[in-house]
Amino acid sequence: MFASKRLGKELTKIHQTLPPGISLVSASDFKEWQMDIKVLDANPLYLDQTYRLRFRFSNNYPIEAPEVTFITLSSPSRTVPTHPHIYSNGIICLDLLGTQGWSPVQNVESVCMSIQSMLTGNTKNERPPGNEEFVARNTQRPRDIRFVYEDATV
Amino acid sequence: MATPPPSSPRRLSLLQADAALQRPQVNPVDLRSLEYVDPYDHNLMCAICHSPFVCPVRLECDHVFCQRCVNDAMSYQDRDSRVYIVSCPSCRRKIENRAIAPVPKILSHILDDLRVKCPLEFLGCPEVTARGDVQDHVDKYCAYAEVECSSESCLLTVLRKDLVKGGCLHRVVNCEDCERSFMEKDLEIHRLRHCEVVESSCPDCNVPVLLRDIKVHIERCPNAILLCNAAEYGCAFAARRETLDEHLNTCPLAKLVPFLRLQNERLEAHEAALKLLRHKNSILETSFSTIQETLSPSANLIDAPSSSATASDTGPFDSTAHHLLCLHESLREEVSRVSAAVSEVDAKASMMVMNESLRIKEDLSHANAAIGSMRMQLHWLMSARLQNQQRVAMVRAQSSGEGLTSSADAGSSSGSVELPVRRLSDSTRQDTKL
Repeated sequence: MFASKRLGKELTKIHQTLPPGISLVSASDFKEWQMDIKVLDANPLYLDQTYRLRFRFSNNYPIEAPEVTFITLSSPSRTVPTHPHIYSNGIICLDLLGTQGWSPVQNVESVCMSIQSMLTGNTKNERPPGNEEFVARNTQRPRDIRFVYEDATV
Repeated sequence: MATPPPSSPRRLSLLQADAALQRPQVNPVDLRSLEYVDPYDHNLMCAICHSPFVCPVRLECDHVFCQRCVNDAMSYQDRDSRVYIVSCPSCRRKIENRAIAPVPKILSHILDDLRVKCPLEFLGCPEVTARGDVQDHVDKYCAYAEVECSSESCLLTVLRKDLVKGGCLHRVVNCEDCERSFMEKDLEIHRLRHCEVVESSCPDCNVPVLLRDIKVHIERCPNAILLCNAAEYGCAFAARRETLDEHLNTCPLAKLVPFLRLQNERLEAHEAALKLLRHKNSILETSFSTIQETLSPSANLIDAPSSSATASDTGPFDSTAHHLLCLHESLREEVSRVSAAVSEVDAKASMMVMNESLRIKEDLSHANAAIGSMRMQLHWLMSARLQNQQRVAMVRAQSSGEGLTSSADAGSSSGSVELPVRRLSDSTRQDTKL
């Protein structure tokens, strides 16, 4: 009940104002939202690209982190950005989205901004080490995966 | 040991504090689900639930959250980490001591003043009240709150507004028309809004209509008898809806309706303005009369002794107050004239003193100079006399004709003779200077 109340408040705020480069695509219920994000500066890796983020909320939101992944679409064309912390199946390795790093003070807008800045600061055109193996065998929900954060600089 | 060691988990004590904060009530209102009427300051918003704080608490790092929110967040952290280390949701600072600090009273007051809708709004309660009063409203006043049935044997509840109907409203009765059974308290709503059988007839066209639809029907019925638009301005015409249009085209009063309405509005506005002015006027009048009252007794006091002697003085004045004011004015002028004169005299006196003192100073310096010259002359005279005496003494010694020792004495005394001569010349030179 309080998840939907809080999400309703976030939605009203999102309809009023959003930071540049972030837009709401769909929020038909309080289970799954989709957001589009763009990298604003002239980073050649992501120039003129728009990426689609899918948020899935549990009933415990915001106490529990939402599940945030990049998704691929054919029309409009949306791909998963290349980044050393983003697996090619869209799963994002970001401490903010894990159980340890999440804080109930975060919201959809702040998560979008974090991912946006994570892309902005990146210079390496590569996937995480062990990407193929992970994508092939992972069946876990993103929230339950225990990532080891090896490199705090990226 | 009265207090537990600070390291022990306080979860239980937190929950107890939570329970103690809420008064024992039959139906405690869940403040978290209330709907706020006005937009509220975002600083009053809990960062976790994004609603205004409910039972706010302060952590060690001075961040404030709802008690329930912070408890939820911490128990989730506990479950995850399995060690009793929790951190502030906002700044991630480690919370050593889970004992919560109260927030300043002013914050609670501001929160209690936020205006909310009655939680029973969905039943029809239109009340908007301060958040701090909403529990009282539901407990004691809200017409849509459920209260115990007035019948002692009945354990069910009725809405407070139905209590006045008296008796137990939970007897099962049948709807007269559709034969379905309802509790008495629900029958009225059923017949008015939901029953599909109960009929009524249109008062104008006599067609039978379902009672629940009658309002819609009357608005559309072609046979309904309607009054002329200008009925309030005196047109007594009434006709069926169809024929009314013809009348409206010919009725002179109906054509004047917009104008008359405008006139009425203006009249009302003027009346309101007049009322306001009247009120103002009465206030001014009362204040004027109080001023007069405070003035008149003092005027009487002054007048009483003088009226016998100078009765003719008050003649030209309209009232005692006026006379008093004139008197006051003339006295004020007198005082200012006197003060001007005083300052003039003061200036004159100080000027005179200064002139006099200058002259005295000059005289003093003259006198000083004279005294100086007299002293010089005295010196000259004295030294001349001393010289004479010494010379006389020397002549006496030479004339007695003594030995070598006395001649040596004479040599020394002749050396001392020259000194007064030189000083003599000195003094004469100073004398010419003067």
